[in-house]
Amino acid sequence: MAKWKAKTTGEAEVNMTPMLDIVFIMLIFFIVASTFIREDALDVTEENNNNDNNAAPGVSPVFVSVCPGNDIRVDGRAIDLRAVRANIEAKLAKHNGTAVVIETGVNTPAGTMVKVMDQALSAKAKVSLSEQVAQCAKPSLTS
Amino acid sequence: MQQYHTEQEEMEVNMTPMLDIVFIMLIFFIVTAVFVKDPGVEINRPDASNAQTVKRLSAVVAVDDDNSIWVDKQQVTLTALRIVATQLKQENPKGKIVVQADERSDSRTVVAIVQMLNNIGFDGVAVATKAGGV
Repeated sequence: MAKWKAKTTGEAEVNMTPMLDIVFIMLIFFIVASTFIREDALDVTEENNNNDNNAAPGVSPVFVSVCPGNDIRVDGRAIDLRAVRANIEAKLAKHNGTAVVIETGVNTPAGTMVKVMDQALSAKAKVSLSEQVAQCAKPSLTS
Repeated sequence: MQQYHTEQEEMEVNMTPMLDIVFIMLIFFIVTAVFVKDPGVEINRPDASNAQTVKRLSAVVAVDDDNSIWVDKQQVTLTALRIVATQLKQENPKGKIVVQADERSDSRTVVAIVQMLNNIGFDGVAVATKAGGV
């Protein structure tokens, strides 16, 4: 009895090779599968309304409406796409606000909207997109 | 000479340190592996200069130039996207979602998707722009 015990405990070693194989295969699988996808994007996250601390009370946001054919209006005034940033900066400075709300009209390409968003972000504004449909002028049929 | 020979017979590489490292790497990759749902369509994204790189994506939603919504290589409706997004939010509460909008897609569709994702409570909702924005 004593002899048998000594022999087995002395020589026994777990064969790790099959486990190692599996661990390596799993390692390679997870390395390959974890393609770190990164995307360049403009942030349009809306914070919940109840912790709206950075917006001073009573300051209404700057409304920008985007209509088809690069027809952009900042608080109702039609301006050129390149002037959006300057206009928003002026409006924000005047009222000490940070919020810009972008409304888009029907059939407005998203490219235009993104350009306006980009301009508003350049003006250091907090951009949000509005569910309201912008009231666009009907395109004239004659042109 | 005889002694040298026996020594060679007994020699075995000590695998334990390598095994430790392999295990740590394995655990790291398992933990960090978030399988991003790819839209599966090529989108012509608009340019922007204020783009920020978004990491920890849990999904990419695409809107192509026909205003079709794509997520996880399937075309879906806005209602179906809401169900998918709600599930994603439950699976990975810190995951972010990027909407890839084609330059010529209708902005109303994009706005509707962004609104819906914000309402679900996603931490980061963003509109994708060209990589390495100008």
